[in-house]
Amino acid sequence: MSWLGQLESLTYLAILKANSKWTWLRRRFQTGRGAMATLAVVAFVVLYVVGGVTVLGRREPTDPESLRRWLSGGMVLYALFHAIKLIWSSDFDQAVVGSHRDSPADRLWLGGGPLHRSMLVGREFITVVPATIAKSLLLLVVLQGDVASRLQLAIGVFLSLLTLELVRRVISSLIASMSAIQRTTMKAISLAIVTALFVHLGSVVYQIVPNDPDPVDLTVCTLAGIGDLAQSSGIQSLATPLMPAAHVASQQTWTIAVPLSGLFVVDGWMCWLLAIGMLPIWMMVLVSADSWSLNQRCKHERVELDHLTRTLANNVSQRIETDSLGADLVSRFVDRCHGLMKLILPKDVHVDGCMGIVLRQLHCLVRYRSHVMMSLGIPTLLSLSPLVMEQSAKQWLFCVGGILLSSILLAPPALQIDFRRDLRRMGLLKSLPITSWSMCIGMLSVPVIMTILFQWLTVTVACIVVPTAFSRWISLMLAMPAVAVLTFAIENALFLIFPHSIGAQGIGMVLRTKVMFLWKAVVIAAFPTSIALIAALCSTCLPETVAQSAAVFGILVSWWAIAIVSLFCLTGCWQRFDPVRDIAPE
Amino acid sequence: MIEITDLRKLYVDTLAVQDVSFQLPSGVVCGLVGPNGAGKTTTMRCVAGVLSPTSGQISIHGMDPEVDPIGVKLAVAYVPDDPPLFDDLTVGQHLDFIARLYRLADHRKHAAELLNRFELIPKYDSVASSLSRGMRQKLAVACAYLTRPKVLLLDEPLTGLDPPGIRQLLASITEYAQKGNTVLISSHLLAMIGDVCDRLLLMQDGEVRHQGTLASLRNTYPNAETLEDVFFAATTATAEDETTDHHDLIDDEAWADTVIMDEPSEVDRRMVAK
Repeated sequence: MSWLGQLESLTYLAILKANSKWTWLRRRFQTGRGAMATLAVVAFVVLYVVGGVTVLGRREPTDPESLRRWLSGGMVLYALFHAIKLIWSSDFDQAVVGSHRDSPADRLWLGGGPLHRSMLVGREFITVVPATIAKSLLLLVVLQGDVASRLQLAIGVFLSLLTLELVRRVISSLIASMSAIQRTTMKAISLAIVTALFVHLGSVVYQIVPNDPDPVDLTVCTLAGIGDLAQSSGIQSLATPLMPAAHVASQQTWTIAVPLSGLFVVDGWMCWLLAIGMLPIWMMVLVSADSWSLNQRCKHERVELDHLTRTLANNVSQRIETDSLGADLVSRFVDRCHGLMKLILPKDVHVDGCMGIVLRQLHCLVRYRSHVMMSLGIPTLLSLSPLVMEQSAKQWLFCVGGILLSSILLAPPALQIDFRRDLRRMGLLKSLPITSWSMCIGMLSVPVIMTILFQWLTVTVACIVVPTAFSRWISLMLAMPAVAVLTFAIENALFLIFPHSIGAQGIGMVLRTKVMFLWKAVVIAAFPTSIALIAALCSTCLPETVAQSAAVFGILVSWWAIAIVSLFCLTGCWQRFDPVRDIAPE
Repeated sequence: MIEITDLRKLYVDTLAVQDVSFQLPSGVVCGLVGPNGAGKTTTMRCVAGVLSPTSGQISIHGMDPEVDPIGVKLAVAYVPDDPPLFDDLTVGQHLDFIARLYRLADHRKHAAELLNRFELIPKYDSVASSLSRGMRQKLAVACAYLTRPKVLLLDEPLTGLDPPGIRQLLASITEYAQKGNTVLISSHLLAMIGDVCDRLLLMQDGEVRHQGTLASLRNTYPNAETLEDVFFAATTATAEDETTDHHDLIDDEAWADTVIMDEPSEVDRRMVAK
């Protein structure tokens, strides 16, 4: 079967799908929630462009060499992050090319159809182009003041990002090909790499941070440290494949001579040729890596089969005992919680159905425990890191700020044990005989409790390291859970308004991520604002003796009020959620 | 013609299929039966080239999926249980897409016949997501027939179909096999497939327990009145009985050269040698 024929059939499918998706989007935009999602995206784009042009456009332009190093080095850091995430992922198939993007229908009719594997890999690459264009345009807004030619910048950034996507997929294929032992070895190596990177970053930040820094200083210094890390010789040596495109993006004229990796000197046109030429080269590398990876997986499977054949009988009986013991423990724990909730809650609040959902979420937690521990362990260490600095009045503030930032920014992606996990089971969830309120409480219970445990643990350790007043400790212990509830309630409400599958990619996801980030930035700004407002109000209106206590009480009440309102919002979103209409066709 | 030798498939830490061997000549309808988790679907997916076997050989009309994956995929059509369809494509667009994918010239007439046969004409412009379970099943089967495969693999094709639909599908299977094609059909509706199958392959715990013609299987369990009784008798048989069952089936002429037993005992070997 000819390549042209295969390409033609894939193009035909892509056109049909695009037409259908466009029709679905048009219809959805006419509904209330769809209009809200559209409005949020439009608002984000307007804010982003206006902010980019007015605020970022006025900053001092970066010199072309720094821009080039920052672009290429930053992308290497991203590729490293991606690789480490995959190495530590328990879902091995996640690393296989197309595993996330392809729908079950794609897997059956295309995977089972007379198409070359390389054609499917090529299709995977082509489908990332629209999202890459969107990302390039977003980056263009930020960087447009640094170069003379915006068109050249846009093309350079686009080529860099596209090369990065290919490199990322090559890395994924290589990771997918690893055996269990190789994976364990890579985990150890990745830990060493991460430690080295953090030591480098820490030392750079320590050198440049002013005495008695405030959070803004620390954030600016950390960003500068990351920039320094991206431009370091170690990272730059890994960035060679991305350099031609980075040169295209940063060069000032068409014929300027630029050093490439310190080894070659090529002019601007040659950079263009190299940047464009890198794409087919990496494409071929990806096809080879994918084919090699599939063969390796098969080989490892055979080795594993030999091993399993020898130990199967013992393992199975032992595993059944362990599993049933684990299941009993989880069930008993949930039963106890249920009894406790019945005692605490008013009689007209029914939590029976909710506990079934909690049980299911707990099983999920037990299954992904190592991932969750890892995801929460790092924020705990980061949040506690200010405590090792010299004693200062702001030390405590940094720690609390770290906990709040981690709760808002890091906890939601780390703990996706909520509605986001069940996109394809929404119909089933809707059919369960429990109230919307119970469903939402049940869905949020586990991630929220895990986040609260992280917050309480970090605050308590901080209190032990830097002794503080008991009233401050208890205030924080009571206030912080509100942030956890608010974060997960809003995250899930937005998910129900604009649902997407975990690991989805494309323009929609790029914009969605930015909208979510914008919302989080608003929340981050709202918390200190609310503290300042209530404190100011109490100090002006109340006598000095009660002002402080009243302010703390006011903050507690206001934060919890916001959290409960957000829960009601989530419940409303769930009540209105229609699996047939709201979930996009695959 | 399907030839499977010592097929094994491992999923993480579960051996789904172990040492499965059988041959199916052209023009035969073979029923693949067994309890849930027996390894039927995995076997079918390996034959279809959707899954790579961990070990063992597969040959479809002399082609090895590892060596000539495209050739095998052109020769085989696989319809899984509850087949996934492109939610955003209509019935007609599905058939057009399959025709393009398999480079079928002048497919419209054949497509119209299939749509008519499976009563899908009124749904021609409906998107797949709006179809009922049975309609989706019929569309997937129509797509499979459209490619005119030499080997047709149907995994639980009767689930969700109405009685006329079942009758129509079974009739089409018989006709298709009579044209010299091989059909492997997996189902729990034993009474239904019993009428169309020339042979039966019974799997349990990832292994082939019995294989042979329906008559030979009935002879093995003379007290069983229906095919369902035979199924229960075969799947609940003790290990001791199984040894005997193997021998009874090996005597069947049609399968004499194809049966490979799992871990044959010395007695088994002697019986095969005879």
